[in-house]
Amino acid sequence: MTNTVLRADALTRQFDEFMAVDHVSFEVGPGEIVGFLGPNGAGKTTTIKMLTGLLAPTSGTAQIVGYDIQSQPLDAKAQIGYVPDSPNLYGKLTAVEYLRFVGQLYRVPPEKIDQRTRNMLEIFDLSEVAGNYLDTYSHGMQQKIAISGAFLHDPPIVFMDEPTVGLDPRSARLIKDLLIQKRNQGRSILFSTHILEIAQTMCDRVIIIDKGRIIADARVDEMRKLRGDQSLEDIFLELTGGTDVDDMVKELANGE
Amino acid sequence: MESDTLLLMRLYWRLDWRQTSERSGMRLFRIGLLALVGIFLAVMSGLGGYGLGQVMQMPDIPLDINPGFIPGAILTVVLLAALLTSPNQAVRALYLSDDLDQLVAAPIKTRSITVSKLLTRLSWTILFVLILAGPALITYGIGIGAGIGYYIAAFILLFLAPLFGLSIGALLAMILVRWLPAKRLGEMLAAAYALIGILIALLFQLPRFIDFSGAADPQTVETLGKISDTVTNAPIPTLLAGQGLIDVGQGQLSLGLSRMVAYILITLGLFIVTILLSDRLYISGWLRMQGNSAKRRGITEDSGRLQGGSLLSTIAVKDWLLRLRDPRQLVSLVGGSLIAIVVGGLAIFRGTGGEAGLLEASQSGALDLPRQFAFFAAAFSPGVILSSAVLFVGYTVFNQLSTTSLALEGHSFPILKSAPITPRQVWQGKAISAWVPYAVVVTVLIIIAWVVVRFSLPWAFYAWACLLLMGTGMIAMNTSLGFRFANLEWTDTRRMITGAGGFYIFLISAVYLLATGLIALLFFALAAVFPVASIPLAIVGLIVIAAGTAFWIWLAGKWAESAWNRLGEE
Repeated sequence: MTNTVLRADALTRQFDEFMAVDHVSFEVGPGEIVGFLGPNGAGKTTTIKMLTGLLAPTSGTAQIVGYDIQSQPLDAKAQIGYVPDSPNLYGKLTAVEYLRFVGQLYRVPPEKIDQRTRNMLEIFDLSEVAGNYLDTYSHGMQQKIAISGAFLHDPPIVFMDEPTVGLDPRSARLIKDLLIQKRNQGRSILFSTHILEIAQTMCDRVIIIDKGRIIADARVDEMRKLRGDQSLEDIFLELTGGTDVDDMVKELANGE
Repeated sequence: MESDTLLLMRLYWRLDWRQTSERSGMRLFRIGLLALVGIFLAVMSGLGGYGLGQVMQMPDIPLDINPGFIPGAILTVVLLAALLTSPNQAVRALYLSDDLDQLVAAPIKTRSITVSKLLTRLSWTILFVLILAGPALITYGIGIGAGIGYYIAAFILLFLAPLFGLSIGALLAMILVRWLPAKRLGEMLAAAYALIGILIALLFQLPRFIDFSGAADPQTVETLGKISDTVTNAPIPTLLAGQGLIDVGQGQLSLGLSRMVAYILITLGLFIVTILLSDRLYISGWLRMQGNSAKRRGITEDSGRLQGGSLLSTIAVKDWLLRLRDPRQLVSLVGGSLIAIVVGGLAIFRGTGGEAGLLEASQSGALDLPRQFAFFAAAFSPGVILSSAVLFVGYTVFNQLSTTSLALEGHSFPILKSAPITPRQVWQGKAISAWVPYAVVVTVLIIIAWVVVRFSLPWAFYAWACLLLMGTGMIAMNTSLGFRFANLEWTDTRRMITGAGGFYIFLISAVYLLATGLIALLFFALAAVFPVASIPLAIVGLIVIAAGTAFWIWLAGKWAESAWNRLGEE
């Protein structure tokens, strides 16, 4: 066993001629919230899919709590929770059934499944509709159930792809609080987001990826200090070549 | 409004065309295959129409049918087909398509959205109508020697016939959406269509119950003539149009045109009423859809299933819950079973077209062969015939169930793939979900078969064991092939397996079942020739089939594992 919860080493994924992720390497330690940022099509989702075993890398390795995701997939997957960018749940199961199913997939003892299910549903204010089929839920409600499922087995690390999309402010706040609470319990979270404000307030560290390559990996406060106390948004735009955004916004505002 | 409508229609046509003309080997193959089927149906339709036209011209035809009845009936069938399919088309186009949020929020009149969406769908219906009903209507005119006016009018009517059905279907959909969630309504309508398809398939079995020997007697002919007259004169717009068509063809222009104009006015009037009503109905239904109207069900002691059990049984139970709760899956399952039981049962017990069924022929000795051919005669013994029927039912029902078991995951597949579970466990869970009910069904049917026809009890056990083994191999392999050919993007239950997959699955299942079936039969036939060695022969037969099945299951497991890694990556 090792102190590093996640280690990605030269992770690469090529789709035909297109290099989606190019030799990406980084580590995540215990009790860390890491923001995985990048423009659209930068390779965030592809990287997360490789880290969760959904996609095989063309080359490179990834280890979760010391287990290689390719050669020891069961041990590695038992250590992770995953919230995809779109919560594609089983529409004809109820929330309770879905969480029981996920709990059994991750070998959580039945009494713990029931107890955690009730807690999660209560936190997300879904107890009253817990017996409804999931296809009657709104996108935001489904997202909350997906998040509940990812935390049900209390994994050392949770991967979240755009977790706050479709959530109302109260739910987004709840998730922020939940992540901070989990971090304080020594759990790690790697999440991708486009909302840099959330990343700035929540993340201990951010990794910025662009065109499949990591272009920055530092603690948020260190990064800001190095860049003359700029906001994370300004740093992000500078690094990803988006400094002309201000000019573009002015042009749009002027109707040009 | 017109420019918005045209803009949207052009967009939808362009999107449809891009999707159709997208080049890939398999797509081109499917389009080619569909074109061939279309040509075949058009030729059959044309031949049918011409034949009917010729019959109507015969001087000694016993049945006095109004010539307008046939084109009227063709147009009515088109109307009914459009009526049946249009509610689902309307629900999909008006409530479930992805661009609605954008369109409703845009400064476009609701009428432009409804008209463009409905008329774009209509163009596809018209294409089908032109392929299926067009040739019949045209060649019928040739058959009765109609004038040029007939063909021009027929062309116009063919374009208008689906509009009538579409208007009613769209109205129905807009009204139903006020009570039922659109997604649920779409599922129920899809299930209803599947059910109608099943009923039509069963209707084709009806002739086996009808005695046609007295069909040509004068009284029957007279009754049929009266029915035809009543139907022709019924106030149904399409029948009126059919009659007008004949009038025009016979040169009675004023009478014919008046009938056709009446039909056209009714159709266009209905469409205009639909569009006017849609201004209110559509937007209120759409807004209602945005709110969650489901009855709230909280946590209770029994808030659902999936409590306890092993990992494999959890997967199997979850799959059954998904199948039983989705009306489309349920109808496809129940319908398949019903067709299998009826078709299998009729083949055995009733035969075809008044001939004796296989079982009756076998029991009466009609299939007996001379003693020196006892080996071959064994294949026609009642036990073998009944066991084959049981296998047919088992195959029909559980072939589909096992092949679609992985595709059932659909977009939820990442839940399984990111979980700490091996592909073999998933494969086993899926196979178990089909095998357990297969074993129950086969056992029950063999018991019923033995109770109805008392064939040899020891050989009934042999047949039962063989069927269980054969089914195990079939389900294992089909589940595995379902991994290889799953279409996880499906929205229509008929598209859960990729096009090529269906063909390979059928081929591989047929080869396996034929091979194991022949082995089972071989040992049974040998026992018929050497009765003293019956027991050892039955045991050896079972061992051989079990060994073959074990190898097949091993192979299937390997295939499932290799297919797993590629799943969800495309």
